[in-house]
Amino acid sequence: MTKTIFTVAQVNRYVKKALDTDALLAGLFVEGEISNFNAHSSGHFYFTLKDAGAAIPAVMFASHTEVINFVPKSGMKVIAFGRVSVYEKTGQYQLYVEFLEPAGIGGLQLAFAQLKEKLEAEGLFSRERKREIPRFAKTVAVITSPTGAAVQDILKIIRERNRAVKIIVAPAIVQGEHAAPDIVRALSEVNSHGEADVIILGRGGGSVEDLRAFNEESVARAIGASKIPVISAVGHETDFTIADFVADLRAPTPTAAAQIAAFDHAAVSAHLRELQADLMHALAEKLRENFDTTKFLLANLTRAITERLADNRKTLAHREILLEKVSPYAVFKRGFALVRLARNEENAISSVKQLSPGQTVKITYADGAAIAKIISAGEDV
Amino acid sequence: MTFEEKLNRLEEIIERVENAQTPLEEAISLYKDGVKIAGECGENLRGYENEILLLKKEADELILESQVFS
Repeated sequence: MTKTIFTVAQVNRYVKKALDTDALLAGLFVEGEISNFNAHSSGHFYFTLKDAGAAIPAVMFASHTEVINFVPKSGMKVIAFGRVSVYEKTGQYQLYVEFLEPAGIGGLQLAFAQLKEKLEAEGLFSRERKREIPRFAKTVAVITSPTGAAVQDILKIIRERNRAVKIIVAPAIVQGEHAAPDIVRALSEVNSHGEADVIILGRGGGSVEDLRAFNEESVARAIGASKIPVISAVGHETDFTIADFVADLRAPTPTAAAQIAAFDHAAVSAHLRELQADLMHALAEKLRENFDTTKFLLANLTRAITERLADNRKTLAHREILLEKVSPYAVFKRGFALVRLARNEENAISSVKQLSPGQTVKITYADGAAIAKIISAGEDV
Repeated sequence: MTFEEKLNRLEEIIERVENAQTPLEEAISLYKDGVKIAGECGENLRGYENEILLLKKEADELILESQVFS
């Protein structure tokens, strides 16, 4: 019997072939805890899957890491699906992971939490980012399934409230693996069309799996990138999706979204009439006040001039009395007379010293005069 | 003069007419001005009133119209 001597490569290839042809090892689920996790810049993940007493090296290539919706970490319990084979260079056998899912809590739940944390950290949910929903939208775009109950509810409510609002229904797949890219497409189309003042994005209630598209990063980013404000209306009141956090406003239901997007024409008209009545009232009041002021001022003016005239009349009467008092006629009435020299009537005689016996004087009264001769004149005549 | 300026002018005129320092002839002349200004104010107010009534009618028609539309 001749001794066969193998090369190292031959051994490894042989073992690899043996493993690769094993039916079980070609595809199996393995549960364990991740350790030594390393995400390589190439996109490949390298880690060790271990449990209490054992460990197996694992590799997950970029083509597979791209599709998982959570970020693995050391210490995380996972269920991996893959095949067991040999890395010929080192002779090490390892698990070639094709799909990875968190064990324990549901994968979707973890993906939700992680995506929420990530987008929140980016500020995508921040209040400052939220655009205001227009109160009086002229055009409302509705992105939802054209066959679902949600679109019917939305159309009905909008029409009830306001027949003038234009509605653009942008049909989109809202469930299943094509849903996310289709919603992204619809959002982008409504935005480039540009007519809508507000977008309602939603669907009726369903399982967490049904609402999955609304928890996808691509949908979240498309909502964030929308130039038109987005109202999310996904499922029931108790369902919260990533889309709800990014949206400018979250409506609890599609019906509520319709109520927010379309203003109630009757109510607004009534309010408008009220405002108009208030305005009229205010203006009428202002006019009345000014009329009153004008009337008051005119009355004041008339009173002022009347008073001035009355004052002047009083002054005049007073002066008349004074005048009367100083008038020579008043003096005549009291028995006094004007005495002048008959030959010189220029000056009135105002003192007895101006007179001497024999002089002829003219004594003038109000109604005439007399000529007299001075017989005697002196201080004690 | 704006409406308010006219009202202010009226008050000023009243003060000057009331003031005994103002010669009577001037007070009479001021009174004539004042009456004229008060008349203008009344005219202005009636004009505004008519304008408002007209605008209200137009607004009423617009609101009614939009009700028909909805």
